[in-house]
Amino acid sequence: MKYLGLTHRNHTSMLTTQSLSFEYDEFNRFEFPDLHVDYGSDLLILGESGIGKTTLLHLISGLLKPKSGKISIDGTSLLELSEKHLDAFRGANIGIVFQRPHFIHSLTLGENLAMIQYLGKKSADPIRIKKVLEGLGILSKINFHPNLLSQGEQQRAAIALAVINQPKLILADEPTAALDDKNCIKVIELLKSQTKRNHASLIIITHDQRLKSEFEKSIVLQSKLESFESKVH
Amino acid sequence: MNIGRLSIKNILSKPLSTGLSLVLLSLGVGIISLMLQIDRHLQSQMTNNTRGIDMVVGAKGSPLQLILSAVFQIDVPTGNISLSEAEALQENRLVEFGIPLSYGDSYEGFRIVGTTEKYPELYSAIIAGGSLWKNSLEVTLGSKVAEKTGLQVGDTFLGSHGLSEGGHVHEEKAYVVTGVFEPSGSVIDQLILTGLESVWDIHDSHSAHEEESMNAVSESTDEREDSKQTPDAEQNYEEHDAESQHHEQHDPKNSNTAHSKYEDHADDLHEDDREITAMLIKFRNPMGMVQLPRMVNEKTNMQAALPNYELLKLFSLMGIAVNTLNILALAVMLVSGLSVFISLYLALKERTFEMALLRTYGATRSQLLGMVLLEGLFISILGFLLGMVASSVGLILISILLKSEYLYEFSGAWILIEEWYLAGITLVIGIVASLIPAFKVFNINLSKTLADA
Repeated sequence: MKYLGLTHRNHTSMLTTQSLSFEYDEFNRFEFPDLHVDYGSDLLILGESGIGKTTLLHLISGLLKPKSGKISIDGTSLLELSEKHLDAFRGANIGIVFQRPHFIHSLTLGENLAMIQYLGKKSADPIRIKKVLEGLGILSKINFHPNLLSQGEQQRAAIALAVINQPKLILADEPTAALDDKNCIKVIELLKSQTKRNHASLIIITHDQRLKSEFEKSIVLQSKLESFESKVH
Repeated sequence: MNIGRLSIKNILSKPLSTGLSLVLLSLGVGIISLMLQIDRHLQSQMTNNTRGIDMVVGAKGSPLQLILSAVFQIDVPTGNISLSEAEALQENRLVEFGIPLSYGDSYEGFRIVGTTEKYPELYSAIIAGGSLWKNSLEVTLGSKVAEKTGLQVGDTFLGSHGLSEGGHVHEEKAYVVTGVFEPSGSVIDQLILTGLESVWDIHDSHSAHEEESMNAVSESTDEREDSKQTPDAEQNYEEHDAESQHHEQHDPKNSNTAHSKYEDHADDLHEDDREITAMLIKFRNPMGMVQLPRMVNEKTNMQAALPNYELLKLFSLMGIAVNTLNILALAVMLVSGLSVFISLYLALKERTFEMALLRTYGATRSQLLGMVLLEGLFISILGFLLGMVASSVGLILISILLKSEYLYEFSGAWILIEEWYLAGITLVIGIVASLIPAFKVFNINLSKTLADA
């Protein structure tokens, strides 16, 4: 067992989790396998509905506090951060792509990105915003309100939101669930290329078996009982 | 981009509910501010015009009417009083000075007031050009009169009978303008001042002339308290006619000889039976306040009215109306607070996910709390400013209206201390309305919100 603390930085691991568990109540208890993601590498987490995929994603991004276990991102132990610092850490280091794209409705696409830069404590950088949008092929939509974009554009805009602050870790929650095969591949390609371009690690959590062939490394979440048994062994 | 700008964008992104809140808020603020301003203007106008006048003596009737007509020149006079009787009062040791006023004619709606030079002195009116009147039929114009009528020193004009435009024109004798006053911010600005003799001279001939066409009216000229020698308002005409008719019935023989009787009598009138409309009196010491009004009211057939007392009564009457309106306006403001609350609350339900999103991008609880509070605050600040603008516009409109109706004007606008309180109340309403939504945002369950979406 490796000790992962704030002071000790493990230079091979972007993300490490250790005996994570979470419970909503006594009937909804989840235990997760240990994860280990190296710098610059990607991970696909597959699992059926109700297995706790979203819960795991929220644990990794610090939106939920685990009942037990440890999470370390780029050498920082999330559980040791105060809530305020956790918000700041998340804003600066983690980009999240949701299943359906969501935006700040009162702002244009460009303003959305500027707002995220502000919240992530990054200095305002219009050039960076333009570069990201250009890379995703939606620079022409910079002054549009997101709800006026087509679905495909919204999907790409959501990726722009996730990568604008150059996070070290990009988390995607079922990014392809609503897409047909063609668009599914397109989005995954975009996510992977954007991750590379921003020197980040990508973790996709999905039930979408189509993605399995796209990733070298994948892990399958199993039901509570099985994972518990495997842990005992 | 920052939280403040996001708040503004959020407000702008829902123009309908923001508009409703703003309309309600500015309506409430506008009404209250307008009430405050009108109250302030009326009080300052009134106190400005009563300075130095402790008591007004005039014909019996409503004391408030006497004050309004003699001091502010906005109501019709109660009738006439005998000059000799008024002068006797002037001799009283408790009286510092008395200023006789005689009015009832006008020119283009501006009143022609016969008086002494003490009257402009009372209001510290300074001559801007020309000089004060000296002889009969010479007049000095108030600044507004000169401005509106375009009359200049040396010009002549014909006065008309009655205090409103369209009365009978005294064609026989024309007034000559000998001077114009500088603006004094008092009632003088709206008046045409002349000597007492002018009014008498005009109406001696005027009455004789009128007498030919109105036989019955002349009958009562031997009645002392009657008002044929000095002009009077239409109201008095009616009373007068009624009285004349009463006389006719009572003493029909008399009316047949009325014509000749009047002419005989007219010559005697000049010395003893001169009449004036009212007299403004300043006391030598406070004892006057105690003794004189009672003396006048009990021992003469004149009436004494105290401007300060009557105005206090008037203001307290107005106060009821003003307070009612203020309470109404406050209720409107509270409703607007409710509207702000509902608008923020509903928007919040739609935007819970957005809030969670902001949190995932690094926004802290306090930043979101601040954002919602700022939205409420911005709406209340904007509502207050709009309300103040509305109140100023309303005041200008009322001022224009008053000017054409009463030749009175509101001028000079400044923010009253009460309006700062109003600003405070508005801000508190905005903050309180956004408090619950802000609290909900503060306690948002991130994981649950994001998972449910």
